[in-house]
Parts: sequence; structure tokens; C-alpha cells
Amino acid sequence: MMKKKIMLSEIEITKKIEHIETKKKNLEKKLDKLNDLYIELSQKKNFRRSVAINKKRGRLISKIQHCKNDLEYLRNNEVEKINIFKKINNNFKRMPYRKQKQIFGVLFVIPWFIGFAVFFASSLGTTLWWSLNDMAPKQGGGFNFIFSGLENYINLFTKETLSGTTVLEVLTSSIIDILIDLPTIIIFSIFIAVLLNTKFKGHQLVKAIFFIPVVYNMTVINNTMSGTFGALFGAEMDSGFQLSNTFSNFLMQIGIGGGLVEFLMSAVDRIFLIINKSGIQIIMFIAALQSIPNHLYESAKVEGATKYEMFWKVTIPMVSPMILTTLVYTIVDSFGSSDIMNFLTVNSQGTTMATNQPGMYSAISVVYFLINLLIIVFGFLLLRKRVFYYD
Amino acid sequence: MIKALKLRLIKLREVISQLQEDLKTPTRRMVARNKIVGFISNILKYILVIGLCFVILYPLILQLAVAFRAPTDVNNTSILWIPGEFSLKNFEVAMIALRYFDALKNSLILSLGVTLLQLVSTSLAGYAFARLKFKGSGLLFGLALFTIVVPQTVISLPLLRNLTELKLVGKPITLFLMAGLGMGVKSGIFIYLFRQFYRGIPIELEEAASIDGANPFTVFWRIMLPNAKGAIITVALLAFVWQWNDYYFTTLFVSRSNLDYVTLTTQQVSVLYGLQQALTDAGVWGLMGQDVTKNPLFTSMILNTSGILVMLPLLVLYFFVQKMFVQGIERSGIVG
Repeated sequence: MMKKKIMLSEIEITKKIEHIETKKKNLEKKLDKLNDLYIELSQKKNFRRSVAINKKRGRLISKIQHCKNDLEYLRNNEVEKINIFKKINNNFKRMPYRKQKQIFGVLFVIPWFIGFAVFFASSLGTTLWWSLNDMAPKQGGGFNFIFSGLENYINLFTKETLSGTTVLEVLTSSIIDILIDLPTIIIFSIFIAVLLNTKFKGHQLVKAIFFIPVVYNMTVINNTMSGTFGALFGAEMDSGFQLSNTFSNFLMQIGIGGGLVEFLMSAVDRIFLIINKSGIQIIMFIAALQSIPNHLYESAKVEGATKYEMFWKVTIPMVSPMILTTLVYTIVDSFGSSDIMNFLTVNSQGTTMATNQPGMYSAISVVYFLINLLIIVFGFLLLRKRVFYYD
Repeated sequence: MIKALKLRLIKLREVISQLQEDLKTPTRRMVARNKIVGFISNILKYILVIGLCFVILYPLILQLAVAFRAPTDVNNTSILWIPGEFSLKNFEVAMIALRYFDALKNSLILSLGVTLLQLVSTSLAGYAFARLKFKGSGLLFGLALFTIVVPQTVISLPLLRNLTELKLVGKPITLFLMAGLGMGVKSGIFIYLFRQFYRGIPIELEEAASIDGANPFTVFWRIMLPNAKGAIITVALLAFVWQWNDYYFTTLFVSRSNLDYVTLTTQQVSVLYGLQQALTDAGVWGLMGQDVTKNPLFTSMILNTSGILVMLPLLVLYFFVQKMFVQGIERSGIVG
């Protein structure tokens, strides 16, 4: 069925004609000015500017032509009535594709950007400002702000204690924990990803099991493992793990360094924690492994490389960008559960930090964030030169 | 009988002599060696994989073993893995303490809504950062990455104050709002994942579509999204699980000021710190004697059972999407 065209009424036509004619007159005035300028410039032999002005003249002339066409249509009563939405759509369709893409890019990012500005950036700024203030709770709600510079930070490192440990001690211990966990998690997850990437009997089932930790609720699991029943079962299990004790004793006796054995033993003790922390990392590495083109391995095979060589010379360089990503993710993830969080709940006077000392609270979280950032930057600088980008 | 044995012996000798012959030529020796090495490494691989699988499944098995144990068997040391008599009493008690169906309903609605909203906001932003470049989009992407690095605690306090002023605290709509505006739980990571994924889709597809007259939105809707199934499943599962297990934002913005609104995770944590109180409130004392309920082993048992109940919906969900999830990861081809 043909859509019935709605034509403009006479009053609208006269209005439009008036509007377009004034527009046309303005444009013609501009064109005259430009023409004068153009002649003047070409006499002066200032070619660069005259070329630019010539371009402008061209655009103006085409605009005037458009006006003339519109007027003709209007006088013959051939113009269809269209709503604003259609008008915008028509204008949009006339744009070059590159520009359309830019407009949609802005439109797509806007929701995120509003969230970023409202929820994130403003809060971050406020936290930074609060950390520089001594804030005492006022009667009837609100706080008294007294600007105190870096006093909060100085107090944090000199006075603040929680059950006998200073902030510095907690920080160093949690940093050491992370530095042990970080390489273990990354090496472990690369290893597991390579293992899972090969096809063997039952690999579907094994993959499904290995991604279960993604679904685990860590509070629940930790509680299960450390609860009364966890301890009971653990004791039962430990009697079966005599072997590992004898093995470590053996290593100690033949004189392999105590530090190494301790590291290994602590890694073994944490095996459960490490497996559960590396769920996402394994996913990332498997995705990276899948994207390595097969022809690289084929040509390596033709050149006579062993599997070991292929792993170090092909696999590792190809997944190295992902190592950087997992590094960042792991640091953020494992710092979130470190002991320094305990300082945020209760302060040294035994009152809740968030309501009574927001300044100090902000200072702690800023320090925590900065250290986070520092480790990431350190890791980034360490790995930057070794990362290989294929494309 | 003896004849048959002799025949076999002869055959065996033949095989051995054949093997010896084989081992004389270097290529055949190589082949034999590779076979043996492959066999041994296969066995090692299976041992390792089975061991690790056990370590992963251990807490689940432990929880199940404890959950089905009858409360009267708490102190029975002869029972360890397999319960003496199966009983669902623990589940009953844990369900009462968790306010299970109320919390389950809230958890489901919250997680589903947040997942959908996060998918919309992060996939749009991810696509814009990957393909629809405009002036300053690089800088904005840097800021999106920056949100991953900044921990929640840094922004939580001022955010709480602002939201209180807007009277949004205590309503789940706050969490929906944050997810819809790309600031939900770990949204930055999802933006990153989507961007990496869209970058991997060949640009020729887009060019072909644009020549046929598709505008950028049509390209996104008709070509990019159907191709991004793997990434969508991955992100959806992660978003669902992380929202389900999220304690920090949910308590801070909703549950702490609105005690009626509980999700499974917040309820689990509050049970963790005050089981006795929760049991008193729920009137479980009447169901069993004091000597049972005061027993620390009983407390631990109930906690384990409630842990299962919290994770059960997730495990069921995972069971159904597991195949798609694994395939989605393998096809997503995300590169750092």
C-alpha cells in the first residue's frame, strides 16, 4: 500500500519561502564578500589563502543552489511534510560513513561515561580531598573539615596500630604474600592452560571441572576449609600426606637451600588457594593459546624444533601480552583480600573508621591504592621489554 | 596346553627379535623412544590432572559429606566421608537461617538484572573503544582501564554519601543504575574483554556491510553481536557469578540500611558471624535440644550446609552453560 503523502499547507509554504529567501540573501551577501576577497588576494598573488577561499566559495555556491532548488519545489507544491525524526535521519544518511561512526562511537560511550563521571571520578576526587583533611564528626550529622595537609598519612604510618601490628608491618607482609603468589599463579595458570589446550581423553570434563572455581564463593569455601569440620577432615587427610614431609626433610638433609624448600612448601600449602585464584587467569591464557596461528608450530616442526623449544620460542612469546594483563588482574584481585582491609573496619580507638574518621579512612585507602599501582607499574616495567606483539 | 604355551613363547621370541632388529636402525629407535616417552608423559599428565581436579572438588565433596549427616551423628567419630544415616535436617535448619526462598528470589532478580544491564553497557562501550574511534576515545579507554586498578574501598565512602543524599541507598535500583551506567562489579574488565574480542573480528565484514548501505548501528546489531556470542556468554556468566557473590557493594548500598532486602551472599555472611543469633531468631531451638545446637561442630555443619545452598543455584547454572562457556572461551581469541 502506498503511503499517502501529506503536503504542506499554503501558510506553511509562504512561511518557508520567506525563510529560505532570507537565508539565500544572506548567503549571496557572503558570496559577494568572498568574491571581492578572492579577487584582491589573487591580485596580491597570495595563492595559499586564495585556494582556501575558493573552496569556501564553492561550498557557498552549492548551498545557494540548494536553496534555489528548494524554492522551486515549494512553488510547485512538491514538498512532502516530514517530522523532525525523519529530518535528522535524512541528514544522518547524507553524512560520510567515517563521521557516522564517530557519532555512534560517542553515543555508545556516553552511558559508561556518565557512570564514570557520576560514580567514579567524583568519588575518587572526594576521597583524595578527604584524605588531606582532619575530619571530626559534627553534632547532628556532617563533618568539620580542617585542612591538615599530609597529617593523616603521617599519623597512619606512625601512630595507627591494629591488635599490636603497625600499618607498615601489615603492608610489608601482604606485599610479600603477593610477590610469592604472583609468579606462582601466573606460572601455574600458563602450565594448566597449556595442559588443557591439548586434546586428551576426557578433556571436556577436565575443562569443566577446572573452571568451577570461577563459580565458587570464596568466603564460603574459605570458611569450609578452615571451619571445625574442615580441620577435622584436614587432619584425616594429613596423615596421608606423610610423603611430602619426608620428601621435604630429604631435601633439607641433602643440603638444598632452606629458602627454596620453604618457598616450595608454602606454595604447596597454598595449592588450593592458588588453584582457586587462578580460574580467570587460566581462561585468559587458554583464549590466548587458541589465538596462536597453527602455521607457526608447523614451521617450527619443519625446522626440527622439539616440543620444549616450541614452548619457549613460540608459545611463551605469543602469550606474553596476556601475561601482562593477568599480572594486573592478579595484583588487583589478591590485594583486595589482603590484611590491610582490616584497618578499614575498626580504628585504634576501637570505633568504626568509616563514620568517625573518614579522613583517616580515605588516607588508608589511598595508600593502599598507590601501592597497588606501584606494584603494577613495577611489573609493567619489568615485563615491557619482554612482551612480544604479533600484529 | 603345553603346546599352546610353546607356540606363544615362540611368538614372543619373534616379537622380541623383531624389536631388537627395529632398534638397530636409528629412525625406528627414535620412533620407539617417542612412543615410550609419550606413554609415560601421558600417564604423568593424567595423574596430575586427576590430582588437581580432586583439589578443586575437595571442598564441594567435603560440604556434601557434612551436609547429609544427621545432627545426632555430629560427635560420631567413626563416620567421616559417608554419613551414617542420610538426613535433610541440616538443609531445613540452614534454609530457615538463610531465609532461603526470600533471599533466593532477591539474588536471582538482582543478578539477572545486573547481568543484562552490564552486558548492554559494557558491550556498547567495548565496541566503541574497539571500532568506533573518535577524538579522545583512546584517553577514555585508558580511564576505563584505570577503573579496574582502583579498588572499591577507595570510592565507596564518598559514593555512599552521595547516594544517601540522592535517597538511593537501601533500594536495589542503585545497583541496577550502577550496572546500567557501566560501573557495576568489575565492569572495567568486561569493557576490556569486549574490546579485545571485537578487535579480533575482521574489519572486512564491516566494510562489506557498509558498502551495502548499513549504518554503524546496523553493523553492530546485525554483524558484530551475532559474532560475539562467545564473549557474551563469558561476560554474562562472570557478571552473574560476581554479582551473586558480591558482598561489598550489596551490603554497603542496599542491605545495611534495608534489613528486609537480603541476598544469599549477604545472608550467608551474616549467618557466618552470628549463627547462634540467627538460629534463635528463626526459632530453631525448639526443633532440637540445646545440647545439639550449642555444639560447635553443629554450627560448622550448618554453615557448610548453608554454603552449599548458596552455591547450588550457581553450580546448576554452570552445569547448563558449561559447554557453551568453555567453547566461548576457546573461540573468543582474546589477546592481551
